[in-house]
Amino acid sequence: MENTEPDLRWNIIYQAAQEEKIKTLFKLFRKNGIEPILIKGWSVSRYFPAHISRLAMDIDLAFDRESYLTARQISKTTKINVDLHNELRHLETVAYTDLYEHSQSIELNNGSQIRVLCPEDSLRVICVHWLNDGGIKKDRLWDIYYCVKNRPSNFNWERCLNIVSPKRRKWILTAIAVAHHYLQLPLDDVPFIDEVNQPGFIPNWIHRTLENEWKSEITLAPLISVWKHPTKLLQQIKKRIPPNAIQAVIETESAFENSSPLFIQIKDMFARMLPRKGNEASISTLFFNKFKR
Amino acid sequence: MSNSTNLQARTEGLVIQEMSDEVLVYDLNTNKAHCLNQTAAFVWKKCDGKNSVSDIAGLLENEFNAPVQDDLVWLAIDQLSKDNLLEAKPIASPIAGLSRREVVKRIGLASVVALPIVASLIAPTTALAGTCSACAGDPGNCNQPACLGTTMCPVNTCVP
Repeated sequence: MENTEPDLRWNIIYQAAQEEKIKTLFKLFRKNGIEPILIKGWSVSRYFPAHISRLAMDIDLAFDRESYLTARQISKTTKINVDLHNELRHLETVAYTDLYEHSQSIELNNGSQIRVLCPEDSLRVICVHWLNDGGIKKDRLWDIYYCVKNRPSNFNWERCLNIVSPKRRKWILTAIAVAHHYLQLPLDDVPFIDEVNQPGFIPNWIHRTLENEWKSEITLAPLISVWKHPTKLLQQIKKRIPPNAIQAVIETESAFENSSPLFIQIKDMFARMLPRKGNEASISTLFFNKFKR
Repeated sequence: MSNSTNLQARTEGLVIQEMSDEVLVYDLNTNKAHCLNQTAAFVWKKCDGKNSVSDIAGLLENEFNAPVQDDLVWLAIDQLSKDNLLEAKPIASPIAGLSRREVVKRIGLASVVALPIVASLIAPTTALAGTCSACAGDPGNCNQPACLGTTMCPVNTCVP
């Protein structure tokens, strides 16, 4: 067993297994007349070098609004851990029909055809997703790194950045600039290099937030997952006061400004206490639903 | 010994990747990956429900042009069975209860054929793990207590 590096060996079989699961899921949904789009996870890992593992515990599939509920029912018939998305909700403002129109059919190594977002839309989604998690996962910053570094030669920055609002455009550029700053993502050949190189392009509070999160021993976890563990629950509540500033900006659809985001954080804290549509598993939603009954 | 009919390699729920001198296997049911060296892979492929242990030993002899004892095949079968890569457990194994060291002693150091190895592959420690949505959505879905308070979960092994 000397020819293959252990990590490479793992990556080869892990990727093959992921592709098998994806193939099975597409077959299942297509049999029922539904065409999903694979987002995040494997669709990002294909930009990674072969020797680097990029694990994903589930497979993320997006569906149009009309198919979503049927897809949920169908997903109950499989043991594969699949995360279903009702279009792309907060991750994207571009119409799903537009995303679908620009999506691509690609072939897996096992020969099956699957659908993924075009590289431009995919990069936008992973940037917003990373920010929406408060940037707490430094390892996930590599997603942005490799999607930019290994983008196709015909990558259309116009499509990626300029079909969304200037506020969202700044979000995407900030995420890319963060990958440039902390992971030395090369940006010499991008059209926005002068913009992101401006002093203070990344507000100082973003650096502070990220660096505090990355050195913190307590990772932000859904409250529902620690509900029965008082010590951990307390830790998680403490971690939320004040809320992660980056997450607060994204959740409240605010802009990345150089001024302190304190008011945005307060606004987000109150918003989080209310039940949110599409987040049925949040404690506030569960509580309100119980109360309504 | 009724070892001729129940030696059947499992095929369902497995992803198999042939490499130049080994076979990688991923069990979709348990999310575990294994690496079979040439000898183990050869034995596994010959478990077709028809070949007996002696038949497989004979086939191995032909393949490697060297004498092969039945115990070497049993050693492979024992490992394949432990890793759930056979349809059913073999009914009677003459090496049952013996340690690997004792079996290797029985086979003898003179064996030219490499000893069968079924190694478990584990996710590299440097792996970029994903969010464990099983924990996030419903902690009951994840049986790893260490998952609580963490969002990293590479292949059912949660790390802080």
